[in-house]
Amino acid sequence: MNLVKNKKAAEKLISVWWFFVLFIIGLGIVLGVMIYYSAETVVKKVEAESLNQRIFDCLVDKGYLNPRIFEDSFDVFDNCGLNREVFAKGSLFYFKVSVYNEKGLIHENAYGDFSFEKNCQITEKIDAERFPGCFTRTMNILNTNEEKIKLVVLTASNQVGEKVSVV
Amino acid sequence: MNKKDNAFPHFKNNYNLLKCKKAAETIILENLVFWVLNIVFFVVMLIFVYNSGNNIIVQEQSYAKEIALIIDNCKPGMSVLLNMDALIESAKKNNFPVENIVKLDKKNNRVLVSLKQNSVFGFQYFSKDVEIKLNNNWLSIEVGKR
Repeated sequence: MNLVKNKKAAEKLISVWWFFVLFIIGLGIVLGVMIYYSAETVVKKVEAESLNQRIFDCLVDKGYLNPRIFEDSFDVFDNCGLNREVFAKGSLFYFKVSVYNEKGLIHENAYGDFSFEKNCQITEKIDAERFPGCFTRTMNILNTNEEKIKLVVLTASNQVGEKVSVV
Repeated sequence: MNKKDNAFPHFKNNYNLLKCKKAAETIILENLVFWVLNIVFFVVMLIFVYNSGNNIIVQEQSYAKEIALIIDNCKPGMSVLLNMDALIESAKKNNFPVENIVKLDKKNNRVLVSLKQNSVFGFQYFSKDVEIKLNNNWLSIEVGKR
Protein backbone atom coordinates (compact mmCIF):
# COMPACT_ATOMS: atom_id res chain seq x y z
CA MET A 1 0.00 0.00 0.00
CA ASN A 2 2.84 2.41 0.88
CA LEU A 3 4.65 1.50 -2.32
CA VAL A 4 1.51 2.22 -4.36
CA LYS A 5 1.02 5.56 -2.58
CA ASN A 6 4.66 6.57 -3.23
CA LYS A 7 4.37 5.64 -6.91
CA LYS A 8 1.25 7.80 -7.32
CA ALA A 9 2.93 10.69 -5.56
CA ALA A 10 6.00 10.28 -7.78
CA GLU A 11 3.84 10.33 -10.94
CA LYS A 12 2.27 13.65 -9.85
CA LEU A 13 5.71 15.12 -9.18
CA ILE A 14 7.01 13.95 -12.60
CA SER A 15 4.11 15.63 -14.46
CA VAL A 16 4.84 18.95 -12.75
CA TRP A 17 8.49 18.56 -13.65
CA TRP A 18 7.49 17.81 -17.28
CA PHE A 19 5.60 21.09 -17.59
CA PHE A 20 8.57 22.94 -16.17
CA VAL A 21 10.77 21.36 -18.88
CA LEU A 22 8.20 22.35 -21.52
CA PHE A 23 8.27 25.91 -20.21
CA ILE A 24 12.06 26.02 -20.50
CA ILE A 25 11.88 24.64 -24.07
CA GLY A 26 9.19 27.19 -24.99
CA LEU A 27 11.25 30.01 -23.54
CA GLY A 28 14.29 28.86 -25.54
CA ILE A 29 12.29 28.75 -28.79
CA VAL A 30 10.82 32.22 -28.21
CA LEU A 31 14.19 33.75 -27.35
CA GLY A 32 15.89 32.08 -30.31
CA VAL A 33 13.26 33.28 -32.77
CA MET A 34 13.33 36.83 -31.38
CA ILE A 35 17.12 37.00 -31.61
CA TYR A 36 17.09 35.59 -35.15
CA TYR A 37 14.50 37.98 -36.55
CA SER A 38 15.82 41.05 -34.74
CA ALA A 39 19.25 40.59 -36.34
CA GLU A 40 19.73 42.76 -39.40
CA THR A 41 20.46 41.41 -42.83
CA VAL A 42 23.81 42.91 -43.72
CA VAL A 43 24.34 43.49 -47.42
CA LYS A 44 27.44 45.70 -47.26
CA LYS A 45 29.68 43.36 -49.24
CA VAL A 46 27.00 42.76 -51.87
CA GLU A 47 26.57 46.51 -52.29
CA ALA A 48 30.31 47.06 -52.53
CA GLU A 49 30.51 44.39 -55.22
CA SER A 50 27.60 45.96 -57.17
CA LEU A 51 29.30 49.36 -57.07
CA ASN A 52 32.57 47.81 -58.16
CA GLN A 53 30.90 46.07 -61.10
CA ARG A 54 29.14 49.28 -62.16
CA ILE A 55 32.37 51.30 -62.17
CA PHE A 56 34.37 48.56 -63.84
CA ASP A 57 31.80 48.10 -66.61
CA CYS A 58 31.85 51.79 -67.48
CA LEU A 59 35.66 52.08 -67.48
CA VAL A 60 36.51 48.94 -69.41
CA ASP A 61 35.10 48.06 -72.80
CA LYS A 62 35.99 44.67 -74.31
CA GLY A 63 39.28 44.49 -72.44
CA TYR A 64 40.34 48.06 -73.25
CA LEU A 65 40.47 50.94 -70.80
CA ASN A 66 38.31 53.95 -71.65
CA PRO A 67 40.96 56.54 -72.65
CA ARG A 68 38.75 59.41 -71.51
CA ILE A 69 39.51 58.48 -67.90
CA PHE A 70 42.75 60.48 -68.15
CA GLU A 71 40.95 63.66 -69.29
CA ASP A 72 40.15 66.38 -66.76
CA SER A 73 36.65 66.69 -68.16
CA PHE A 74 35.88 63.00 -67.55
CA ASP A 75 33.08 62.70 -64.99
CA VAL A 76 32.91 59.20 -63.54
CA PHE A 77 29.47 59.91 -62.03
CA ASP A 78 27.85 60.89 -65.33
CA ASN A 79 29.54 58.12 -67.28
CA CYS A 80 28.77 55.37 -64.76
CA GLY A 81 25.22 56.52 -63.88
CA LEU A 82 26.10 57.30 -60.25
CA ASN A 83 24.47 59.97 -58.12
CA ARG A 84 27.18 62.42 -57.10
CA GLU A 85 25.41 63.50 -53.90
CA VAL A 86 25.48 59.97 -52.52
CA PHE A 87 29.29 60.19 -52.46
CA ALA A 88 29.44 63.66 -50.90
CA LYS A 89 30.44 64.40 -47.31
CA GLY A 90 29.06 61.92 -44.80
CA SER A 91 28.69 59.27 -47.47
CA LEU A 92 28.09 55.63 -46.68
CA PHE A 93 30.03 54.62 -49.80
CA TYR A 94 33.56 54.91 -51.15
CA PHE A 95 35.37 54.01 -54.34
CA LYS A 96 38.91 54.40 -55.61
CA VAL A 97 40.10 53.81 -59.16
CA SER A 98 43.85 53.25 -59.66
CA VAL A 99 45.61 52.70 -62.97
CA TYR A 100 49.15 51.27 -63.12
CA ASN A 101 51.48 50.70 -66.01
CA GLU A 102 54.83 48.91 -65.93
CA LYS A 103 56.49 51.91 -64.32
CA GLY A 104 53.94 52.39 -61.56
CA LEU A 105 50.84 54.38 -60.70
CA ILE A 106 49.73 56.69 -63.52
CA HIS A 107 46.25 57.71 -62.44
CA GLU A 108 44.18 57.61 -59.27
CA ASN A 109 40.81 59.03 -58.20
CA ALA A 110 38.74 58.45 -55.09
CA TYR A 111 35.30 59.60 -53.90
CA GLY A 112 33.16 59.12 -50.83
CA ASP A 113 34.23 58.58 -47.22
CA PHE A 114 38.04 58.38 -47.39
CA SER A 115 38.34 56.71 -43.99
CA PHE A 116 36.92 53.54 -45.56
CA GLU A 117 40.23 52.84 -47.26
CA LYS A 118 42.01 52.25 -43.95
CA ASN A 119 38.96 50.43 -42.58
CA CYS A 120 39.05 48.07 -45.55
CA GLN A 121 42.66 47.17 -44.75
CA ILE A 122 41.56 46.31 -41.21
CA THR A 123 38.56 44.22 -42.30
CA GLU A 124 40.86 42.16 -44.54
CA LYS A 125 42.38 40.76 -41.38
CA ILE A 126 39.53 40.74 -38.85
CA ASP A 127 35.72 40.69 -38.88
CA ALA A 128 34.25 43.92 -37.55
CA GLU A 129 30.52 44.52 -37.37
CA ARG A 130 30.46 48.31 -37.72
CA PHE A 131 33.18 48.51 -40.37
CA PRO A 132 32.36 48.78 -44.07
CA GLY A 133 32.05 45.84 -46.43
CA CYS A 134 34.76 46.11 -49.11
CA PHE A 135 35.44 44.66 -52.53
CA THR A 136 38.58 44.98 -54.67
CA ARG A 137 38.86 44.06 -58.33
CA THR A 138 42.26 43.97 -60.02
CA MET A 139 42.35 43.40 -63.76
CA ASN A 140 45.13 43.39 -66.33
CA ILE A 141 43.83 45.15 -69.41
CA LEU A 142 45.13 47.09 -72.39
CA ASN A 143 45.02 50.75 -73.26
CA THR A 144 44.31 52.08 -76.75
CA ASN A 145 48.04 51.78 -77.58
CA GLU A 146 47.90 48.04 -76.82
CA GLU A 147 50.10 48.57 -73.75
CA LYS A 148 49.52 46.46 -70.68
CA ILE A 149 48.02 48.28 -67.74
CA LYS A 150 46.58 47.21 -64.41
CA LEU A 151 43.25 48.59 -63.22
CA VAL A 152 42.42 48.36 -59.50
CA VAL A 153 38.95 49.34 -58.34
CA LEU A 154 38.33 49.41 -54.58
CA THR A 155 34.75 49.94 -53.37
CA ALA A 156 33.21 49.99 -49.91
CA SER A 157 29.77 50.31 -48.36
CA ASN A 158 28.86 50.85 -44.72
CA GLN A 159 25.11 51.07 -45.13
CA VAL A 160 22.71 49.16 -42.88
CA GLY A 161 19.52 51.13 -43.63
CA GLU A 162 17.44 52.98 -41.07
CA LYS A 163 13.99 53.57 -39.70
CA VAL A 164 12.76 56.87 -41.12
CA SER A 165 10.76 59.26 -38.99
CA VAL A 166 7.45 60.18 -40.56
CA VAL A 167 6.76 63.92 -40.67
CA MET B 1 -8.29 -18.03 4.29
CA ASN B 2 -10.40 -15.46 6.07
CA LYS B 3 -14.04 -16.45 6.73
CA LYS B 4 -15.13 -13.02 5.64
CA ASP B 5 -13.52 -13.54 2.23
CA ASN B 6 -15.43 -16.73 1.69
CA ALA B 7 -18.68 -15.12 2.79
CA PHE B 8 -19.03 -12.82 -0.26
CA PRO B 9 -16.85 -14.29 -3.09
CA HIS B 10 -18.88 -12.72 -5.98
CA PHE B 11 -18.80 -9.29 -4.39
CA LYS B 12 -14.97 -9.47 -4.05
CA ASN B 13 -14.46 -10.48 -7.71
CA ASN B 14 -16.73 -7.69 -8.98
CA TYR B 15 -15.01 -5.21 -6.72
CA ASN B 16 -11.56 -6.18 -8.13
CA LEU B 17 -12.85 -5.88 -11.69
CA LEU B 18 -14.27 -2.47 -10.94
CA LYS B 19 -10.97 -1.33 -9.44
CA CYS B 20 -9.07 -2.58 -12.54
CA LYS B 21 -11.49 -0.81 -14.89
CA LYS B 22 -11.16 2.48 -13.01
CA ALA B 23 -7.38 2.15 -13.00
CA ALA B 24 -7.39 1.57 -16.78
CA GLU B 25 -9.64 4.58 -17.36
CA THR B 26 -7.39 6.73 -15.22
CA ILE B 27 -4.31 5.64 -17.15
CA ILE B 28 -5.96 6.36 -20.54
CA LEU B 29 -7.25 9.75 -19.36
CA GLU B 30 -3.89 10.76 -17.95
CA ASN B 31 -2.08 9.81 -21.15
CA LEU B 32 -4.69 11.58 -23.29
CA VAL B 33 -4.38 14.80 -21.30
CA PHE B 34 -0.60 14.51 -21.43
CA TRP B 35 -0.49 14.15 -25.23
CA VAL B 36 -3.15 16.80 -25.86
CA LEU B 37 -1.25 19.33 -23.76
CA ASN B 38 1.99 18.50 -25.54
CA ILE B 39 0.40 18.88 -28.99
CA VAL B 40 -1.22 22.16 -27.98
CA PHE B 41 2.14 23.45 -26.75
CA PHE B 42 4.01 22.59 -29.94
CA VAL B 43 1.22 23.93 -32.17
CA VAL B 44 1.34 27.23 -30.28
CA MET B 45 5.13 27.33 -30.74
CA LEU B 46 4.83 26.67 -34.48
CA ILE B 47 2.22 29.42 -34.87
CA PHE B 48 4.49 31.81 -32.99
CA VAL B 49 7.49 30.99 -35.20
CA TYR B 50 5.41 31.32 -38.40
CA ASN B 51 3.98 34.69 -37.34
CA SER B 52 7.44 35.96 -36.38
CA GLY B 53 8.61 35.27 -39.92
CA ASN B 54 5.79 37.38 -41.30
CA ASN B 55 6.71 40.27 -39.02
CA ILE B 56 6.17 43.67 -40.64
CA ILE B 57 9.56 45.07 -39.62
CA VAL B 58 11.35 42.12 -41.21
CA GLN B 59 9.35 42.51 -44.43
CA GLU B 60 9.94 46.27 -44.66
CA GLN B 61 13.68 45.80 -44.19
CA SER B 62 14.09 42.91 -46.58
CA TYR B 63 12.08 44.51 -49.39
CA ALA B 64 13.78 47.92 -49.01
CA LYS B 65 17.18 46.28 -49.33
CA GLU B 66 16.07 44.05 -52.17
CA ILE B 67 14.67 46.97 -54.22
CA ALA B 68 17.77 49.13 -53.59
CA LEU B 69 20.06 46.27 -54.63
CA ILE B 70 18.01 45.66 -57.78
CA ILE B 71 18.31 49.36 -58.67
CA ASP B 72 22.08 49.31 -58.11
CA ASN B 73 22.63 46.12 -60.07
CA CYS B 74 20.68 47.33 -63.09
CA LYS B 75 22.58 48.68 -66.04
CA PRO B 76 21.36 52.08 -67.28
CA GLY B 77 18.33 51.62 -69.51
CA MET B 78 17.20 48.43 -67.77
CA SER B 79 13.78 47.86 -66.24
CA VAL B 80 12.74 45.19 -63.77
CA LEU B 81 9.36 43.92 -62.56
CA LEU B 82 9.14 42.82 -58.91
CA ASN B 83 6.18 40.89 -57.51
CA MET B 84 4.62 42.62 -54.50
CA ASP B 85 1.90 40.12 -53.47
CA ALA B 86 3.34 39.52 -50.00
CA LEU B 87 3.76 43.23 -49.24
CA ILE B 88 0.30 44.15 -50.52
CA GLU B 89 -1.25 41.43 -48.38
CA SER B 90 0.53 42.72 -45.26
CA ALA B 91 -0.45 46.32 -46.03
CA LYS B 92 -4.10 45.37 -46.47
CA LYS B 93 -4.08 43.56 -43.12
CA ASN B 94 -2.98 46.84 -41.52
CA ASN B 95 -5.43 48.96 -43.56
CA PHE B 96 -2.51 50.76 -45.18
CA PRO B 97 -2.98 52.27 -48.68
CA VAL B 98 -1.26 50.12 -51.29
CA GLU B 99 0.04 53.11 -53.27
CA ASN B 100 2.12 54.23 -50.26
CA ILE B 101 3.96 50.93 -49.75
CA VAL B 102 7.05 51.78 -51.82
CA LYS B 103 8.27 55.31 -52.50
CA LEU B 104 11.50 56.89 -53.66
CA ASP B 105 13.04 59.70 -51.63
CA LYS B 106 14.89 61.39 -54.51
CA LYS B 107 16.37 64.08 -52.29
CA ASN B 108 18.28 61.52 -50.23
CA ASN B 109 18.40 58.86 -52.95
CA ARG B 110 16.74 56.12 -50.95
CA VAL B 111 13.94 53.57 -51.16
CA LEU B 112 11.22 53.88 -48.52
CA VAL B 113 9.09 50.83 -47.69
CA SER B 114 6.14 51.15 -45.36
CA LEU B 115 3.49 48.58 -44.37
CA LYS B 116 1.69 50.45 -41.60
CA GLN B 117 1.25 53.96 -40.28
CA ASN B 118 4.37 55.56 -38.73
CA SER B 119 6.61 52.69 -39.81
CA VAL B 120 9.00 53.39 -42.67
CA PHE B 121 12.31 51.73 -43.49
CA GLY B 122 14.76 53.53 -45.79
CA PHE B 123 17.72 52.16 -47.75
CA GLN B 124 19.96 54.23 -49.99
CA TYR B 125 20.89 53.41 -53.59
CA PHE B 126 23.74 54.96 -55.60
CA SER B 127 22.21 54.97 -59.09
CA LYS B 128 20.69 58.06 -60.64
CA ASP B 129 17.57 58.61 -62.76
CA VAL B 130 15.41 55.91 -61.17
CA GLU B 131 11.65 55.62 -61.53
CA ILE B 132 9.27 53.17 -59.87
CA LYS B 133 5.60 52.47 -60.50
CA LEU B 134 3.16 50.03 -58.95
CA ASN B 135 0.92 48.31 -61.52
CA ASN B 136 -1.55 45.87 -59.97
CA ASN B 137 0.74 43.59 -57.93
CA TRP B 138 3.95 44.35 -59.81
CA LEU B 139 6.50 47.05 -59.06
CA SER B 140 8.15 48.39 -62.18
CA ILE B 141 11.70 49.68 -61.60
CA GLU B 142 13.35 51.69 -64.37
CA VAL B 143 16.96 52.81 -64.15
CA GLY B 144 17.83 55.80 -66.37
CA LYS B 145 19.84 55.78 -69.54
CA ARG B 146 23.36 57.19 -69.72
